Amino acid sequence: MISTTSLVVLLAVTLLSGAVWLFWLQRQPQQGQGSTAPNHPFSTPQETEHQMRLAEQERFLSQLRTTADLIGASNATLNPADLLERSAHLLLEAFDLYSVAIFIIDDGRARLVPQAYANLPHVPLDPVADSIPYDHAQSVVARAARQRTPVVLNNVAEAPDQYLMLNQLPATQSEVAFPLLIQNTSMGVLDVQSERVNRFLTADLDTLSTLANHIAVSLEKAQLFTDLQDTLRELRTLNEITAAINSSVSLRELLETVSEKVVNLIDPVAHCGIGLFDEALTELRIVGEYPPQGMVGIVFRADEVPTVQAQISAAVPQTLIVSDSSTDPLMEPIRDHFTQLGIHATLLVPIISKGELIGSIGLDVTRPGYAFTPNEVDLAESVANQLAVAIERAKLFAEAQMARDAAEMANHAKSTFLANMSHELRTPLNAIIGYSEILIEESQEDTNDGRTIDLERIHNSGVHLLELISDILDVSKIEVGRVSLYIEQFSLTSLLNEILEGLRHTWATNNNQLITHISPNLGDMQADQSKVRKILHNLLDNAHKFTEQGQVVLRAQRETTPTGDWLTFDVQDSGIGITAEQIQLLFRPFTQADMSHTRRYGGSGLGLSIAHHFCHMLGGTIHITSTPGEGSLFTVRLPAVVDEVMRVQPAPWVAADSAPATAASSTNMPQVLIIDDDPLTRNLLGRYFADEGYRVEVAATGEQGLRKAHELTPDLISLDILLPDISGWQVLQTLKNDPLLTSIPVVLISITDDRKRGYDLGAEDYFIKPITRSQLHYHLERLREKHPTVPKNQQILLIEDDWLMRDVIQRTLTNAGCHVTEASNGRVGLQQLSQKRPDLIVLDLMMPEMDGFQFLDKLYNTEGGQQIPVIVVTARDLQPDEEAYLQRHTKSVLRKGAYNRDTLITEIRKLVLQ
Amino acid sequence: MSKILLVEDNEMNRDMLSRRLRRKGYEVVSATDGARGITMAQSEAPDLILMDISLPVMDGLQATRHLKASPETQPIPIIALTAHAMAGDREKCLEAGCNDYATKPVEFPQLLAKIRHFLGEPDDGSDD
Repeated sequence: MISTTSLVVLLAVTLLSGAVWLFWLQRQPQQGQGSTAPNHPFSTPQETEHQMRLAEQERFLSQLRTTADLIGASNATLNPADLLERSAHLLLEAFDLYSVAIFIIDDGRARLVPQAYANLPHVPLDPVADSIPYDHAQSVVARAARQRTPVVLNNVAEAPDQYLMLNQLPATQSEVAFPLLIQNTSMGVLDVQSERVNRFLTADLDTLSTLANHIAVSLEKAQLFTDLQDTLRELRTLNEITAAINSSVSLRELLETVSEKVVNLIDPVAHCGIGLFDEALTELRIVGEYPPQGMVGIVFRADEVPTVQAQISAAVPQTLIVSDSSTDPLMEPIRDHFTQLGIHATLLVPIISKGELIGSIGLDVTRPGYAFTPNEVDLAESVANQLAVAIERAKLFAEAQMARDAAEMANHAKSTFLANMSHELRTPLNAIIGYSEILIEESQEDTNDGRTIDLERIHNSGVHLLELISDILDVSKIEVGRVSLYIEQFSLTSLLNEILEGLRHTWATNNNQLITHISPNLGDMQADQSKVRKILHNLLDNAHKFTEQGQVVLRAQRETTPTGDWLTFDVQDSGIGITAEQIQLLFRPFTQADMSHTRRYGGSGLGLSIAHHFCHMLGGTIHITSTPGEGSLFTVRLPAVVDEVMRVQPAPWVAADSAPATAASSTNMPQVLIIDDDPLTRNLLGRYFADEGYRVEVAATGEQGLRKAHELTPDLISLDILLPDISGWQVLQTLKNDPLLTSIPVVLISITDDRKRGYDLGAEDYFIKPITRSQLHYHLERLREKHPTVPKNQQILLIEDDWLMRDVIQRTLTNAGCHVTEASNGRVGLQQLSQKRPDLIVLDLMMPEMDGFQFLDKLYNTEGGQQIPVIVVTARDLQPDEEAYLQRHTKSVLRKGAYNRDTLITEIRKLVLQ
Repeated sequence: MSKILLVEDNEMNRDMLSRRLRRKGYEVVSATDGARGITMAQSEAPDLILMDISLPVMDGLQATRHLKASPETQPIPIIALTAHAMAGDREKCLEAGCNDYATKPVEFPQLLAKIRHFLGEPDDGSDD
């Protein structure tokens, strides 16, 4: 804006001075020819002078307006043709001229081509016929262009050879040509003509010269803008080509797209064809073209096409330009063909990949006289480069895809083969196993000749080999999706016994202890028995394999949840354990946590992968927690009833907790301190004690144990003998010699059998590991009698209609030292209440005659009834208002459905003892 | 002495099983395909049939259906011997009329227990 404004001001000043001159000049008719110096006026009457001045001023203002218009126009349009056209018309009008023409020098600087014109007789100027040779010696226009300075012809009649437009514009008497200079180089000429001789005086020359400069600048600006636009368009097209190359379209589609883009990119190109060579460079196959002319698929022999042959023959393949196919000698053999197609020029760009010529892009131009610009050649080459990359990539991709397909096919074939080989592999092995079994029997019964051991080795090896083969076959079947479920009902206890029996010899090998905690209410399972067997067998086998002289614990229990009954199997070992990173790989086939394990521990490495897969097939989960060096815990949860259609509904998963259960701890509960260096034992005992209603504290060393004993003064201490620092004997002695701690009962739990010493030192009891839950339970009952930790003779009122449940709760609570009064419904309960006031009430909700809610209402209205704590045990689904009611009026609500019976009893016990 | 008909095409399996059964005091007759199995069942009148399922000429399922359809052979208990891997086969066996099944490779003590069960013999515990 600022520069435009200052330019207007500058022009105004210029024009003003010019106008003053003009004013005087107009009064002097027909000045001397060639003279540019004005004569000074003297003798004109004032009035006429005044009128003339006014007229001149008006004309000047008009010119000023025109000039401003011109500047405005040049700023408004960036189209050079448009700009020149408007400039010509404005100048013609503003300066009262006869003709204005703007010539532009062509690319070859051979001719000055009229680009825009305006003249009074409306004579058109032809770009070809009316162009002027750049080196024309006399032409005013040509001289101005060459000399880069305005050339004035004041009287055409005097020098007709300098004026070249006599035919078109015969009335012209004077002519001035102004060079259009950009960076001191002529790019064209502004040619103005008048019907008057000596029309152009210095002032006009200055003004027009300035305007010519302005046109040149505007033209340059417009030209730059056009170039920029072209560049942008090229870049955009190149981008599109790149995008096409990078998108995953097929090579064929890509080649078509690129051909089309190239035709659009390089405007004069009428047809683009892309060809690829064979490896020997003897043939060129057309693989893409635009617009389609049915050439795709055609194969040319390279020696039949001279341009192609020329490109192949060159030491370094280079772009080949045929500027005029009608004259180029190279085109001789195929000239007729090209003429027929009307091709004037052609460009053959090599496609080079890794230094090798792999193809060509051919660009044909039909426009006569057209020559490719260096920029266009550059563009075509850059497209060819991109294309080379794309073709190379497509080739690699195709190769990779083929390799992958082949690998997948091979893998599938392998798995199918193995799955099919199932029978073939087993048959001879079965014979080996079967016959060795027969021989063992015979050897044992008949001869007893000492070969039994050898035969058993053959037999065991056969069984082992069969297991390995079965694993491989299972994985193969999993991989080819040939595993199906066979659902049947079976007893879990029998299955577990069978599995454990089958693994007996494995434990013997590694000197491991097996501890089982199989809930008695496991019941039946409805699932694929062979899959469940495999899962548990593999986990137990695995646990034993990686544990030496340690423990493997199997826990199995059933729990009822809103999603049905679930079976949970824990397999815990005190073996080598695995790291978090190794866990990631654990369930993958053919992977063992550490490849060196294969050599050390044997096995196919498929067991866990199979177990994992089968668990999911049965709608269950498998989970592992492990600490390297301490052992691992695998937890499998399976639905007790598996649908024929695979269950995928995820199980409500609770991660196995490796820390002792302390969640429900309350300070009112008795506390036990477990001193044991084996984390597995600590964990196991911790759970047992927690279930018995103890808060659990642990210590891993004797020192730590003594310190904690002082800090906590627990109600009970469980002590191991073999501790890493000081022995359990010493710990026991220290405890018994400490007046503050001597009364705490100490239970020794150890693999060392030295009861006498233990009892002599003051131990309360002595257990040999492994200790079972029931052993511990029995012992703790005895202990509680000797060392009551709960208020004795707590009066409990038990209101429950289910006699079985009532009986179990009653016995449990009685064992815990409580005095239990029973009632079979709320009404009976109220009667009991009136006879003896209990310390606590255990209440069922759904009962005949008077249900739990009615009972609570009555209790609440009884004097002192509000103070009696109530524990509600119910199987009922509670409404929110009922829940709120119970929350206000009772101590705790236990859901029968959320616990199995054992757990429920334990929970009741815990609450009662608090 | 109870007579057992073993229908099994695999020579080694046939040999192994019959030897072990004979050692347990059974009289064993054998057939190598389903069709012969039917003929033998009629001519030998065995007390029990052990029927392999995949058999040439006529498979075990067909043979079983045939035997169970004939009043003469219908009461003879049939224990199918199925490949361990083919879980669905067990169902098919029971549908075809087999009284029980045992998976291959045969675990002899278990098979023996089943045989004794059908023959109404006491388990003498000598098999383990």
